[in-house]
Amino acid sequence: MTSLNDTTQLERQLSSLFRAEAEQAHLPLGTWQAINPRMGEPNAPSVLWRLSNAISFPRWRNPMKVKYAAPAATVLLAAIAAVLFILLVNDEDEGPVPAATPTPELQTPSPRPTFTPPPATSTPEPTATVVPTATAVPTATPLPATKSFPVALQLNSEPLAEEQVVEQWTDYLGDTEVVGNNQFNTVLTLCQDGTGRIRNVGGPSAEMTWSVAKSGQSWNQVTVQVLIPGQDPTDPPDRFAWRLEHGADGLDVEEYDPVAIVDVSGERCTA
Amino acid sequence: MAEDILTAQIEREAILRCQQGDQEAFRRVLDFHGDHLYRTALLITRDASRAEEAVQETLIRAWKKIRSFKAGTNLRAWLNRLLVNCISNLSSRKQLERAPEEAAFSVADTGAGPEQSALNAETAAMLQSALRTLSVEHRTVLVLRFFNDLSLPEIAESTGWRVGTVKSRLHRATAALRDAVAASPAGIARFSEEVSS
Repeated sequence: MTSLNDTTQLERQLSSLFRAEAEQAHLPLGTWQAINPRMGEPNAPSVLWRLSNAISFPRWRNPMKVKYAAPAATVLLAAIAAVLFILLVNDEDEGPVPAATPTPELQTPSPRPTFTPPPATSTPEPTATVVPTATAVPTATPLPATKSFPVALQLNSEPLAEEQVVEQWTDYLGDTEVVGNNQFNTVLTLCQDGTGRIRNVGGPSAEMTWSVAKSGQSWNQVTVQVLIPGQDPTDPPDRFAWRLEHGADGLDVEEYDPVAIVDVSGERCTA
Repeated sequence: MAEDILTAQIEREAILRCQQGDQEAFRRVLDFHGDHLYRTALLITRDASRAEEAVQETLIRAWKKIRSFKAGTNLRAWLNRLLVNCISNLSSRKQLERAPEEAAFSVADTGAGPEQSALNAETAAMLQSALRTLSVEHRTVLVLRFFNDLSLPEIAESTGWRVGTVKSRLHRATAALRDAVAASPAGIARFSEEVSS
């Protein structure tokens, strides 16, 4: 029996074992077929190549296709992703789209009709009640204001006598358009001279007169009465009785929810 | 001698054509060195499928890097180095540190050839069992030394290790192999017989 305690003997036996084992081994026949399709891969794998491999990009049999098509497709995918990203960022910059576009009558030339602002005396801006409507009446976005709301009518001002209140409200509401109503979809043009026009969106319009009928419970409240010629003045329809109030949140509209008071000075009332 | 010179000449021409992108020439190189690469891989990994994978990866790398091969240097040593690197990478990737339990070869089943005359089946089984317990590094240095008959500097060239590292690893590998043989049941029985006699 052979002893393996001797190093030389061990090495000799090991060498014999290796050769005996190697005699039986031959390179598998399919080796060339296995490596041949991969011989077209680029020598130095690029980042794109590794990326395309990482996302399991298919390996075509044609090595030239593998070499060029996979990176090209990866670049294409990256470009599409970049374009989508840029579009997304631009959308965010532009902000939300207005809920509705104004009616044709409201799309006046520059200067654009504006929503009445509060004065610069730190009172909050007038708040318009947003009313969802089925038609194209402007709803949510008040137009920029160019007509200052009278300081004397603000909630934090000294109360005025009723005559002064009527005068202030009349002066303020003159040459404006009261836009939108959730029930009638009307637009009222209130000219400074007390005349005006009432229009139903998608329907007929009529000449009318208007006045500040009363100031309500306090100086910061007002009711506008609208009269259409031929109608009984003692029984004005409720829908023409508009009450506005300047409260803690700014100008508020309690009845029929007009959503904007637009300054139309020199435009609709000059004809 | 004349045959070696002729072979070397043919190999040089084949390498030159490989470097120009001739895949058929590379196939001839494969025909010439493929078996040797596979045997080396098989002896180190002790597993046929792992050896095949290592050889395929080696050949792909060889094809990609063939332009960097310096004409006149030893192609087999160059291929050996690629192979050792591939096996090392595979072993770190697939936990091949220990060879599979099932033997890839059965020396006892083969006919009595000239190499086997000095190696009986019992010793072969004992060595095969012991080899499976060694690390890939130890098996690599043993195979390069006792199968490829490489010198220490040649092993250093094939592995990228320093000559001193090769020397110490060879010593440790041999010692580990001897310990593994002694620790095997057959080795213990044999030791007892030697002591009693």
